[in-house]
Amino acid sequence: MTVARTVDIRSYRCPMTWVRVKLALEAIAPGEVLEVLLSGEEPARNIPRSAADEGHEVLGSEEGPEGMRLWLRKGC
Amino acid sequence: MLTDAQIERYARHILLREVGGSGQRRLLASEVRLEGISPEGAWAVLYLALAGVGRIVVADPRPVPAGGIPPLIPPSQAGRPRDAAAVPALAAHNPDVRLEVEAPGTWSEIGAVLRPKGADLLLFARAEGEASLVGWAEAPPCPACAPAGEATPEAAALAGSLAASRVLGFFLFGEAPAGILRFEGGRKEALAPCPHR
Repeated sequence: MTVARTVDIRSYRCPMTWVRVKLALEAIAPGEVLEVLLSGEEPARNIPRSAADEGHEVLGSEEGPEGMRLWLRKGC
Repeated sequence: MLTDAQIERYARHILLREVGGSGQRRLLASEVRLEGISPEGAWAVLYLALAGVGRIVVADPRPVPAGGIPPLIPPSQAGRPRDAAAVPALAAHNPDVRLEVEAPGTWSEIGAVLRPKGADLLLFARAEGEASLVGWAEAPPCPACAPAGEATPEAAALAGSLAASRVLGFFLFGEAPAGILRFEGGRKEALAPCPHR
């Protein structure tokens, strides 16, 4: 999997977390993958849901020492 | 690219599917001229400034009346030219907007006329009694078709907000369907075209 762009939203709170992810998704082409670095329960719950609501594919996530990495494939 | 300050300021627009970051950039690159700083015009231009329309030109050298022009111009500005008084008031709401006074000014004697850059038609807004008249036209209706008279502040506020939403709809989606609508008491009807202009 090739990541086209990474966005770090660990320092932001809702709704700026999704605002930052949305802007990052706008900056890549449909079909490309965005990697999101996040921390805390709120974005872990809401970012995948908001992304799916707007037609993006949630590819998966992984917990690491610096937070969670989440991968989204941009929809059309 | 939006700056961090702009992302903070326009976050609620960016969240909207209809706007997003690309729509907000389009608004920031857009321009509109307001002729007639009436109550309708004051509401409309305030909403457009808050929405982040990048450049706003105001034209109306008539003096501010004793009560100011709510919600934009306070009574302390009474006697100043309306356009000159509108500029600092709008800048206080959104420092992002480039503001200019058109000199020599041209203004609508009835209601407000908004001219978005790139639009073939103008957007007319006027409150009449409890009714709000808003829509795209080649020219504003003449005073005989839209007679002068007292309007309620609520009708002026509604006319201004409807006007602003239509201008934003043009900037975002290119929509500017010809025809002035009259809104009153929850009903709307098309206004007959003014035969005098």
